[in-house]
Amino acid sequence: MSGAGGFDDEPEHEEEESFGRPFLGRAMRAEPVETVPTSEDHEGHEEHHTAADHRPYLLTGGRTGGGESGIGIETLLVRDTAVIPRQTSWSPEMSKIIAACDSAVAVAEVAARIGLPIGVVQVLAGDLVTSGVLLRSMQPSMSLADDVLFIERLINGVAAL
Amino acid sequence: MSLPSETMNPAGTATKRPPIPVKILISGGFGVGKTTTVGALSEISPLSTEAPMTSAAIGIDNAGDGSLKTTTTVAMDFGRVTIDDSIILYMFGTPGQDRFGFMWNDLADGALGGVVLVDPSRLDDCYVALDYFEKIKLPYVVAVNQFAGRATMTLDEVRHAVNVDADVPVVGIDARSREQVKTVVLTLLHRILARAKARKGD
Repeated sequence: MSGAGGFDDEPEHEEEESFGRPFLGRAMRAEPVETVPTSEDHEGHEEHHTAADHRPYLLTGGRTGGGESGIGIETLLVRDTAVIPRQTSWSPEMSKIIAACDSAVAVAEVAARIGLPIGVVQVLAGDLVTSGVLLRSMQPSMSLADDVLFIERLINGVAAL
Repeated sequence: MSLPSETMNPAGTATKRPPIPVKILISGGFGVGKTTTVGALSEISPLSTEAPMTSAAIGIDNAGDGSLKTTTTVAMDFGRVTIDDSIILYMFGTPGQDRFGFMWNDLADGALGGVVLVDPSRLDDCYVALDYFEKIKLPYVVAVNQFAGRATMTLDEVRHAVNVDADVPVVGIDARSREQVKTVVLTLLHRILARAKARKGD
């Protein structure tokens, strides 16, 4: 494949270069590209890879940030124990995220505990929330900063620490 | 990637919603005591996570003081405080250098307020954080880390030097002291409360 051909795989991410350009990077280092997981061979056969072996970009299918799902770094996640997911095999990264959410925990904390970049956890957690496996904290209808009663509750709580 | 709705709860079996997360930022230069401050109040040892640096950020990186950074990730330390059943407070220690500016929109989005930590011997390090908080109108307090009594400037001198509005609290802090960190957070929260009340009155 000629050098320019690599662009075909990533048509729309000119501005989403949080993780560099993994395809180009791989091409330049002449590494075999078949280590890229696909949805078919991704289920549980990747144990010999650590997350660090993959460009974070690949783990999210090229998506970055929590944008559409509104998953912020402090958004709390918890496993919904009432749900028996139809899908039982997740990518290794998703499995780790689910396992880290037995009690309510922030996206940033999940990321720190399982050693993935926050941006990756934001995207994958968004998928897991969409599929109902994880519950997320609600986004308040009004800004908390304008909620006098809430701030007062917070002050009382901190003062009682 | 999404699953069909059969996986959802049967109607009525409400699972416990996660609590409401509250985020405050602890900002300041390297070595000013951010992680110590976070750790003093956090119920967990401060955790560290890496945020990828964007190419754009690398382009505007102003690491001009000889500390040439070559890695493409930066660490961010944070801690957690459970306030009650329904509120969890997260304190994010945010790198206060220009080159981390790309992180700040994500960090500041939804943040209640900020603490700007100041090392009196390196005042310059706090300007980026001050400018940013002022720009996005985030309530903040200035906390002067006194490094175990090694007071080199009075609080008034710091206030004058960093040129903050008269209503911005400037307080001294020993970042290792849980009580003092708590007091600073309370000072910040009272400032947030005052603003909320003022807005309500409008």
